[in-house]
Amino acid sequence: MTESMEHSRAFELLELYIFGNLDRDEYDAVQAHLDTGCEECLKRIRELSELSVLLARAVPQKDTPEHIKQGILENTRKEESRSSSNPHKKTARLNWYITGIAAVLIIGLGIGLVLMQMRNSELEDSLAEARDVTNLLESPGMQFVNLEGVDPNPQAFGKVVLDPDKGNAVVYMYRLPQNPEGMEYQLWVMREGKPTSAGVFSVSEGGEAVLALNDLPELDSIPTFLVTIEPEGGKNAPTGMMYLTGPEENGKSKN
Amino acid sequence: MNEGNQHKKHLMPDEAKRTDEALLKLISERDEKALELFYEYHNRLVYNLIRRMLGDSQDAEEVTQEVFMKVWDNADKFDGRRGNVQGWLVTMTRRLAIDRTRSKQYKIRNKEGSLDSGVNPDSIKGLTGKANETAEATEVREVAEALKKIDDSHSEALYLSYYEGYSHSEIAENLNIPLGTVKHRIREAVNKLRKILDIG
Repeated sequence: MTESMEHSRAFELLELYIFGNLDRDEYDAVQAHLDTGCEECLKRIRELSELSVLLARAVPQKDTPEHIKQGILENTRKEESRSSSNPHKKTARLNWYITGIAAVLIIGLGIGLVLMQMRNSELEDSLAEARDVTNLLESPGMQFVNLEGVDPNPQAFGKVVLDPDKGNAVVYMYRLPQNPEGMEYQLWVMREGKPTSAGVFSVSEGGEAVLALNDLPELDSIPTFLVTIEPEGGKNAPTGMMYLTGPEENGKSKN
Repeated sequence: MNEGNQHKKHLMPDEAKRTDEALLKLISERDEKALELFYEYHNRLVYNLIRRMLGDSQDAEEVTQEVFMKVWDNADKFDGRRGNVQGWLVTMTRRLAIDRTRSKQYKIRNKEGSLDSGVNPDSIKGLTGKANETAEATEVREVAEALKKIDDSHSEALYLSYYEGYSHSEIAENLNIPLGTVKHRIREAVNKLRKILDIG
């Protein structure tokens, strides 16, 4: 076990722990000090981490090669098959309170979004009734769709998690410019070349937005999603500049 | 669907944060679908930071895989007291990329990790300049502007360390300054950025 260093030394190294390039011994010693629960260092680390994420996000973006994901999933499967005879890997189901929220947010299943608005105790009760929420995450028809930024805003991107069978989706969008006064973004679902509005929205200060869609019409293929900028309240058909679109080819899932 | 708000719900940043934490919880229970979702949300952040540090290379792809395998194996070690999930992920990403730069194979492939052409001040501005040309996202713009406001010698040390993954001693050697000065400049750069961006 790595020995923790004294507070003053650890505090002095925190900037270098996050932004620098400490050697392994110092890095592990800072980790060990943080493990002791030192409040002052933890507070500073939270602030530094926040800055580190901002710096990381400022890097010019490029799509991750598709095969990386496949490699990861193959590795996890290999690991799992190796450890399947190892009972301690299969831990007992714990408190699913937070887990339930995730399933709800991500899959966008109808019950979830209603639960989001409930009080915590109601949430816990409802989730207890919702059986094992991992079943929701393992919905066999779930599809992922990438949304790409369009010039002059190629840095924008998004993800759609779509359950075509149930007609539910959650759309995550990132790095969109702030919508101008009197304008809102509008999400469109294109089917057979016909746009249908899926709602208007504004973005957070960080240019992010998340929309949950329910009751999508029956989908026999992945539709195209578009995001345009429109006058406040939205329009009946896209009129403004396009910011996001995907998938690349209609009907092609990037799962 | 009708025009308007009928089908939409906004999820606030706090909810996105809970989503990340909840996904980690599922991952710690060996839920592959949760890992897949986690990857969908964060792969660009991880891959592009690694690309920045290691370049477009097989190393960058391998380290990206390593990061998510580390998430798979260590999700239960996430400690919310140290910051949010993205912060944890970025710290882990940098650490694994740095470990790669120190590996023997990487050094052989990249000629002992020296700064090839010394420090080019334009490369420091390159990050922010490029971001400014294309990115409208507020936070990116703010970071770019903040980086421009700090002393060149400080941003240079931070850039070489944070984005390029050079060790403090490599930076000292190549800039011909004492090791302590490198560390001081990184700290100063960080503290100035925190002030400018009003963090903490």
